[in-house]
Amino acid sequence: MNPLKKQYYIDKRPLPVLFLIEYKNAILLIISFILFFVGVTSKYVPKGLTIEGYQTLIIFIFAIFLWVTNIIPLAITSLAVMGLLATFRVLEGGQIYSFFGNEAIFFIIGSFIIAAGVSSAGLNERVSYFVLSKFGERPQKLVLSIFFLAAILSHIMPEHAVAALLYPILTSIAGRLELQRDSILGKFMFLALAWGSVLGGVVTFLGGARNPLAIGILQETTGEEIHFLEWMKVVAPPIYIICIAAALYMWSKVKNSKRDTHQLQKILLSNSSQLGKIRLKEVKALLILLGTIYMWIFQSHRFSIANIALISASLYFVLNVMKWEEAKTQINWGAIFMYGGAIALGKSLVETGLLTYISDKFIANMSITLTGFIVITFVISLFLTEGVSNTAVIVILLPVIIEMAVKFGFSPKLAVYIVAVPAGLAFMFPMSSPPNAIAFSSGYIRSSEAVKMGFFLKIFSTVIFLLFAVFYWSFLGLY
Amino acid sequence: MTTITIEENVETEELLEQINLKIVEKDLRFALVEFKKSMDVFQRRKSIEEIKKYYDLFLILKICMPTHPHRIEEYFSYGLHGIFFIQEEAKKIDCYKDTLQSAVDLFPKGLVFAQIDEDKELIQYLINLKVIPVVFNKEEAYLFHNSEDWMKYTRLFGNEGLENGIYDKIKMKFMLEKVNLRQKLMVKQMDQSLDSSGL
Repeated sequence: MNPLKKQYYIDKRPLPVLFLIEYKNAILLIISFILFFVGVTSKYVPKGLTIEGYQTLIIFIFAIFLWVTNIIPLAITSLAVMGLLATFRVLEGGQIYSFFGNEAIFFIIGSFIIAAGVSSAGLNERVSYFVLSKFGERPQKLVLSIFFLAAILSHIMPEHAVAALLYPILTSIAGRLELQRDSILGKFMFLALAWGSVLGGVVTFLGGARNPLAIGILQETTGEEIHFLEWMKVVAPPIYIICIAAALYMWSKVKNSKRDTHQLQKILLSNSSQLGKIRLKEVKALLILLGTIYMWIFQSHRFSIANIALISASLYFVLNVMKWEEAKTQINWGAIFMYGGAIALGKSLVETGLLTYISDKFIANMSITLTGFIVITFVISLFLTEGVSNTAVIVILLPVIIEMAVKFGFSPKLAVYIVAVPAGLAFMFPMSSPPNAIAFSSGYIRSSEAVKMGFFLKIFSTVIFLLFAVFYWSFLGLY
Repeated sequence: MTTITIEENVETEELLEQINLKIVEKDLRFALVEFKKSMDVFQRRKSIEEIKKYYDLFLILKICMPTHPHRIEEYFSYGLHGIFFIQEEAKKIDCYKDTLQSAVDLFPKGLVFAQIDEDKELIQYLINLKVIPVVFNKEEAYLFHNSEDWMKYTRLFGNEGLENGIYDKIKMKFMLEKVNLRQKLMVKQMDQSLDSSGL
């Protein structure tokens, strides 16, 4: 093959079009900066709103624009937001930067280190090979074992890390089985990976750092807290029902596959045996993990989840499970930067009176039932998350929804659930969440099919959550 | 115009020194570049990138007229600013109309040159295609140019037409960067294209 054909091609579209495509981010950035400075220095401040509240509003709109368009990294937008809030003296500089001291941030740091410890010890890899070799002897069982393995691992690890861990194993399985690009088995193996990681990641605080971020915003704005077990009690039952429905759907689709997967057991067992016998490191990692989960579930009222996470994280080093060099590459520092800025912005919306202003002006006269409030918020968050980062959805919606919930006399905790849970349920597009992007990159999933199936899964999730909200959440005393 | 021949595996420092001696010290703004046949596409691209990193020069590829017009895309991807076709003895230049047209479509207008013998009809033929004829008479080669707008680059040839003032330097830099930008926008790497699709 001509190497040129492989590496380069000449784009012959008109130059202005190429220029706009190449520099669209820079153009958008310049325009948004100009509009921001025109807006923030404007003398027109709506009646009833303080100058700080008005400036927060402009910074908030600017940040939403940057988070939605993603023209600069999300974390950098967050840092810029902190700089702008301090520059315009919306809050005192010291106070703004102190939001990095929020408990949620330290919980996130701790949980990243715990996930890194499990991964460095090789525990997740061994579990994956064991499960797939044990249950993967038929196509349906193979797909379901991938689905449930991804879902369960996402309870204790970030969902993108689970997808990244299983992806090479699945690619090698697909290669050994010589699956064609239009193979049903290939498609559902990778859909199972994406759906399992996404659904499992919603159930605990560890699957996606957006959940602790939502708790952090709740703490800063209302002083209320949601504990680990409390979250699971509310979220796990509806998610498990959705998981069962998704599993049944995949089972029915894959049963037509005649592919013989018996040979897989041998391949996976041989790969698994290459990992050697169980090492002391893995045992230590498992024990720390089990102890941490126990403490989070049963003792978080006494010790707080952040304290438990940090002590557990340090145990991985004390017991020599991993070295700092290994840990630091696996910590998502960008997410940590982003959350500091997001919490600062959430707090500013409250402190400057902007949310009260919005609530008095637009919400006070509205009348809405509890069911209507849940459905509308859930659906907005559910579909917004397909185009915007999961975390950005929380930052954009949650402060306003908490204020609305309080105004209507509903629990602010309810607001957290109906924003944060659907924000994690991104099934439709590759860019909606990292597990989707990873699964799509296999080439077995066609976008049109994923959009169709993802849409139905979203509608089904909405119905299930509504039923649970009406019949189960009231039983838990959520409202 | 002075020709720089780039050898396979030539050290960057050696190449830059050659350009410095032959072009930069003589205050020239154009360099004809020819590659040894054994060099592959990546080596050619890399050497052009290196020269562009250090010197503000119009780099013109000196090459025989290819039989297939599609080769022009490959030449364009090297990152050179223009192309200079050496005269072919065997065939008449008007046999290469598609190739010349393809070069004019890809390279900026005014930076496609073709070497010919003095022939008024042929000169007009090339000008109609917007190719600049480089005419050989018995004594020396000279560049055909007139006041047409698309021939703006030919005014930068040699150093007699330009002062070394700041205005000329800025003007020259502006023209060069405009061509570089055009190159950057049009030559795409497959990998980048896949990355930008979000997959």
